[in-house]
Amino acid sequence: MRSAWEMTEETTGPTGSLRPMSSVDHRAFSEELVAFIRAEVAIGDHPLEADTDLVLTGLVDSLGIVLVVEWIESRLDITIDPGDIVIEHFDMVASMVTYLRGRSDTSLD
Amino acid sequence: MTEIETLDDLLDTAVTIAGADTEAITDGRSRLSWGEYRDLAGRIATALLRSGVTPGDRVGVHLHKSVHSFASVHGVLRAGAVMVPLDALAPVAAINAVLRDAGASAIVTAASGEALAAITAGTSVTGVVTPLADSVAVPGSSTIGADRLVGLEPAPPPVVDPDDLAYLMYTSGSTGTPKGMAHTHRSGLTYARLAAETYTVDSSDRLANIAPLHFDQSTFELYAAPLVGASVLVVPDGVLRFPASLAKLIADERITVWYSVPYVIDQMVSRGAIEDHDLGSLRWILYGGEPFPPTALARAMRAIPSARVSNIYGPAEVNQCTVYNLDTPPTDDAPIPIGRAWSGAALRLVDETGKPVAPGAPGELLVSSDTMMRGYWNRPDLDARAIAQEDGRRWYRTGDLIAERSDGNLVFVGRVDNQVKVRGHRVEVEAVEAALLDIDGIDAAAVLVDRPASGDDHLVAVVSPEAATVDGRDADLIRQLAATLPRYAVPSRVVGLDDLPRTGTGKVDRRAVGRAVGVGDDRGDHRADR
Repeated sequence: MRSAWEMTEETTGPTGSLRPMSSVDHRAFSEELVAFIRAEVAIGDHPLEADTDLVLTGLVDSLGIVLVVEWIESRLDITIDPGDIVIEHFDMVASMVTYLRGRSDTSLD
Repeated sequence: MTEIETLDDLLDTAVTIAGADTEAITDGRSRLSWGEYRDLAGRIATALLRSGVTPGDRVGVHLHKSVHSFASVHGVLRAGAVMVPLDALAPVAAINAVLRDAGASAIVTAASGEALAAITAGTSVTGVVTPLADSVAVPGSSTIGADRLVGLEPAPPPVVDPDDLAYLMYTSGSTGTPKGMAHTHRSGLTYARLAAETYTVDSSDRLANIAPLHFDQSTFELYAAPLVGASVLVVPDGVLRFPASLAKLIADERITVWYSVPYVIDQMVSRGAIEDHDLGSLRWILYGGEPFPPTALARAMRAIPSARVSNIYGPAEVNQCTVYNLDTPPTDDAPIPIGRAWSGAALRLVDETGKPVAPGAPGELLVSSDTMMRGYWNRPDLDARAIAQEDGRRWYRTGDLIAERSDGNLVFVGRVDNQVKVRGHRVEVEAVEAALLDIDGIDAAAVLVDRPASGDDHLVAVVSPEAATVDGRDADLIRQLAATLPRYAVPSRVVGLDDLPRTGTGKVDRRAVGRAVGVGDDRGDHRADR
């Protein structure tokens, strides 16, 4: 499966002007994040979708949240302030995407 | 202080002390006054009685932390039944095992449909109360939900004796079979009374409930708070995973007394952006369950200078038995003592033959106290090992090796068995190893505790042959374990080795395995797997 980064190169504008390196389709990013959590973080066998509550299902514990934050920081080349790692932003993948799209330093479209 | 004798009277006591209209409890979303809290518990009690519950029956409480989970605990007690707290985040098999062992006849839950059927399969549960969902009719039984609760009259006080059982607190046994500590109204209420006195809790206090219901620290907020009319913030499960959310909630709710394992405090201090929040309302931080690394404790005390700190020690079998108070941050890396005997607790340090140890030498700690459980639920074999009758008193053998310093303070040295603690939860490593050996393709297993300096304690499984694992965090193996073990007992990492080091008798040598894979204790608090 191609990564979101490969897809980004294909979505450079028709005029040839390069979009920011971090530009990435938010749906592809969401799928990639779900796949990462499913493969590397999730505990237990509860089904996992973008709108699944990660904590109340028991899928992700405190260590898992740290892994998720590190993955996002690495993927998008950003730093997430500890004060932003709150339940409203990280209770499910959909919340994370909404939060990240609202940041001015990421280019989730 | 009002002299009540049973836990079912606590909410009446609180209404008398604090007033029916005074705020009693919140989870950040819902808020109840003492009158509302008492009435909700009373209606849940009525629902249980209508479901066929009779005094002495065991009733499971299976809810995520909320005002409703607290009210359900008091509802079970008001029905004269024995409360069995269940881990809402545990796998179905673990919850089912507790309900079976307890012989529970009813459950207060948020589960429904297939999930409820799976949890109660093969148990004697017939009564189901769902305070957060509407009633559902199912073949053979029916649930009483929020829609029917509203119209019920609160139950009157039950006829219970102080020495009747009040709650069963379950922990994992070494064979993987859970064991229930059976506490009476007397042991629970004695603890509540002593805790409120020791930490000078009164109706002006606001207590943060951090621990889940099935963890014994929660008895502080469940019982000591209403005894003196102190209000409680039940911190939701979700918020606990986010230190910044936790810090904001503690500050917004003006919490005065906090009780948790060290990890939660350290995470809030180090990752909770606490400079953005005023935590100055905190006057007393109680911690227990496992050692607090001194450097992390010093960081926490400097960050929250308004609070004095107490290290609380006591297996859930006896609630609490020692306390050590700190008014200034530790200045070196020496382990923090567990202090001296708590009010009313008699302590002895003995060797393998039961004789007192020499001054300063480590010995197993025996405790005798009115806060002690009656015994393990339906396990006379465990009682025979754990409870000794001497000098006309009942003594609980803690299994903890303790030494007395020259200044009279006690220090924790280790365990006499292979029980370890992960963020305050007891884990018998043999039970986790047995679960690993049940998985096809695994021939040998050792379970270790990694205690990095960061404080992120976790279990590491080492298995052979190496081909049984895929990489350093084998998701499939971890998933299989998570289907049967409580989550705190699920290793975070799996390491494969073709041969595990063994002792001269052929047993897996956990210490040597730890050396082979570089897993151990970087904090020097002597709590590593032995």
